[in-house]
Amino acid sequence: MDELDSISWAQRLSLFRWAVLAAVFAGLVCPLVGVFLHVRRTSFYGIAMPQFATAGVVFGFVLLPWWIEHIGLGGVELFEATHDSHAVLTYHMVWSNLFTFGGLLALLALGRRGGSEVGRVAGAFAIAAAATILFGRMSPVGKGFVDELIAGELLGVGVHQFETLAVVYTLAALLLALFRHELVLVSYDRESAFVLGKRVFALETLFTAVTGLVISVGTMVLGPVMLFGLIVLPAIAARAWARSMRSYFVLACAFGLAAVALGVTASFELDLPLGASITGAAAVLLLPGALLHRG
Amino acid sequence: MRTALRSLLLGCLALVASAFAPAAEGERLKCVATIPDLADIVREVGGERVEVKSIAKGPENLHAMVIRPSHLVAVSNADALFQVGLSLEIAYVPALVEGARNKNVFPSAPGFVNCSIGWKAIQVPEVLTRQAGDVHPQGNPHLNLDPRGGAFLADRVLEALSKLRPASSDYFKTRHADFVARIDVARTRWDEIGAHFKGRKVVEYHQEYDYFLLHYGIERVGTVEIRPGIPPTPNHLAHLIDVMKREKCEVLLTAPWSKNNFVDRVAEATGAKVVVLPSSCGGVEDSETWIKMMDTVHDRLAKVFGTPIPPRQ
Amino acid sequence: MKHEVEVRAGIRAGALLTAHGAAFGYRKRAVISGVELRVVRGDFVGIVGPNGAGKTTLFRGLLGLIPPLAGRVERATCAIGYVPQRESLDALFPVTVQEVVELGGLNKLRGFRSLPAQERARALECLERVGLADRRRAQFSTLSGGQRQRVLIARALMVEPELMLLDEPTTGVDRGAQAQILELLGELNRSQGLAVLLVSHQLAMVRDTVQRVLWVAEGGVREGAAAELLAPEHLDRLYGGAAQGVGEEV
Repeated sequence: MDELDSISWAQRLSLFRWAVLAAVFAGLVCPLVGVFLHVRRTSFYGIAMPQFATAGVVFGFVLLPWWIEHIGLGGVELFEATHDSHAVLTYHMVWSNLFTFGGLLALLALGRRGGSEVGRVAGAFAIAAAATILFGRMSPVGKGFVDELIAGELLGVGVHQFETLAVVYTLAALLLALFRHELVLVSYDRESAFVLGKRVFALETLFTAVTGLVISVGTMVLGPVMLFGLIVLPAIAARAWARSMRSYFVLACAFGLAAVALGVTASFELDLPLGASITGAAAVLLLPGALLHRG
Repeated sequence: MRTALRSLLLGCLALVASAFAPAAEGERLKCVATIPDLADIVREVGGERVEVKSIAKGPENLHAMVIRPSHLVAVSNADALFQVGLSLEIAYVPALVEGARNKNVFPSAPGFVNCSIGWKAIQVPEVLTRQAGDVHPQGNPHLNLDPRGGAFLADRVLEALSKLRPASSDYFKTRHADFVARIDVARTRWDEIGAHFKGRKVVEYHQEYDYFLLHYGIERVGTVEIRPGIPPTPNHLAHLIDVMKREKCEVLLTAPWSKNNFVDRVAEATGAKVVVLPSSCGGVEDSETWIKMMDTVHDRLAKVFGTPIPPRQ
Repeated sequence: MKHEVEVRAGIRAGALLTAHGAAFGYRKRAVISGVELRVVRGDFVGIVGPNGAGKTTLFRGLLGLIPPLAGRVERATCAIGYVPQRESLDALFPVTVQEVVELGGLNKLRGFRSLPAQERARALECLERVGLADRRRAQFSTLSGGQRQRVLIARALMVEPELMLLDEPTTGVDRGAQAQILELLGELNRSQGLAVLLVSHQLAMVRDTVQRVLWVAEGGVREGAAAELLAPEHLDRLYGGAAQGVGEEV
């Protein structure tokens, strides 16, 4: 398209600045969560949890008429709430968080009873996926609005969604940084953490909460594909090169940012969907480590 | 005892036979329509001699309908299935008809009504390829949004109902005439509103309103969708925004199902006003019938263009 | 992991760890019962017995990882060093030797939760103590079994323990490494008065190191001098008896 040549990179970055900034935040923070999920061998949570987030959003839609009538939503009427999903973004995000957090806690609680972790996560994914469909049938708005909200195509991210993501992800990063030593200890050697007097349950709950927040907000803003891609892939890529836990965290963030940079470039130059391009770039960055048989 | 048994047996036979007997002329014709517009028109023409259900409710993306068990039940009991045609319902009607196993609505039966037969479609593709996205192979199917569409669909409905219930033909004709007369009255108003639309520029999310736009000479400068069924890429959006600014296009049309982040970002970048128009009856407020829906489409566009809006009849 | 171990300062003059009529098990089913134990400074105690007898269950109970089903366990408010089995640590973590040892100093986090320089220096000292300071930047998983065990001992030393509990510290390492580990523990025991409680099924190796032995078998515990309980003729008798009544170990 000849007309595209007249649109500079600067113009494109300006036009899509919130989407690009959201991707940068995601590229930095999601891999931090991904490192912990990877070493704890629970990366599959990254597949199942966005499904819980989705089910939460859809459930919120089911409850919306009752909620507006009996509790209210800051003066927003039902018609506006059901036709302008952004008017009640906070409402949807709360339900997304609740379901994500609930799903994580349920998985952790069931995990204490033993059995197959992979089986539990697969079961959770199936249950959440079915719940999403069933709730979608019950919601007054119909599948269309729900699909739009939970699809979370990155390119359409606006300032409000970016602000929400930035605040939540900054908080998540701060908490992970603040408690990084204890979280590593609890993940690596739970019994020793207990003997050292660490509050293991509180730390596990903290990690669960941070993971839940990152996933629930990310599902709605970034979309499940890009979210899962940035949580899992940079952590795997970085593991091939990491020689210490400290370097592992740094490298994972570096791979995340690199995926964003490459993905944005590919999207702008080759005219590809932005979210999928970033995920694809993250996958490509796995290759050097895999080919050199490192890790 | 023997007499009682004989009576019981005859009664059972009669009951079984009635299940297979064609519906008597006095019974209401059970109709299923794929979209609420058709349901409304069938109701208008059929009156008390039909009962109608609609598969779509209004706000949905008509290209991406998901069939429920209740739809299958309705079609399995139907005397007639009314669809728009032009491949609008290609994704689900064949499966619905097959699953319902109701011979009344098999494609060759009088009860299988394709309401677009005889309609001169626009945007008929010269070459069919997946690269073009979810393009409709027979042309743009959104004829329900053409101001002439209501009368055309009413004619097709009349033909179908008269074939299925010849004895009620006169009743249907009377109702049809009344409906078309009301459409004519509404069209006078619409033409008055639409006279101010010529030359105006809009962008659509999906090419749903093209019949309407063409009818009034409104220029579509682009679509948010890169191609039908394919979401936009950064370059496409950037180009669209650039074009909108150059062409001074300040109106962005979207259906309820497609009012999404992309629409908001384009509107934000260009300062365009987003107008949500129904893509079928019930899609927005004040669009429960076809005439009301078209009234609403005309009024909303007139409001955003700043042109006069005469009162409704 | 709730535990109901009572922690009292200065219990029973000099005792670091005591157990009174304690029973331990899982899902309310006792694997081992009637445990009577008193550990003081300078003790070197081995927990031995046939496979499946309940050694690890007893060990976890004394550590407080599982609550007693009966009786009680008391620990003085002293620092306890814990050395887990090497195999429980996942090689997927790219932790360095130094990072592993520094994990033992997490009680001393300061500021924006960074380990103070003083603690980092202590970690290096602990590594020097176990003879592995030159490997501090190596990945933990690349070390030999014996080396990893010594690193874990260094980590346990970070808390400046008065009592150290080790779970199978010599399993899976060659005889030379075993000897090194036991010599290190012996030296800490002699020079610092560190009380050591270790689980092992390598009876010959521990015989020359520990003073006392807790023999775990048939759901119970018998305490005695190492020289006596681990004498070959005694072992033949005990193993013969233990084979008839095997406890359950999870």
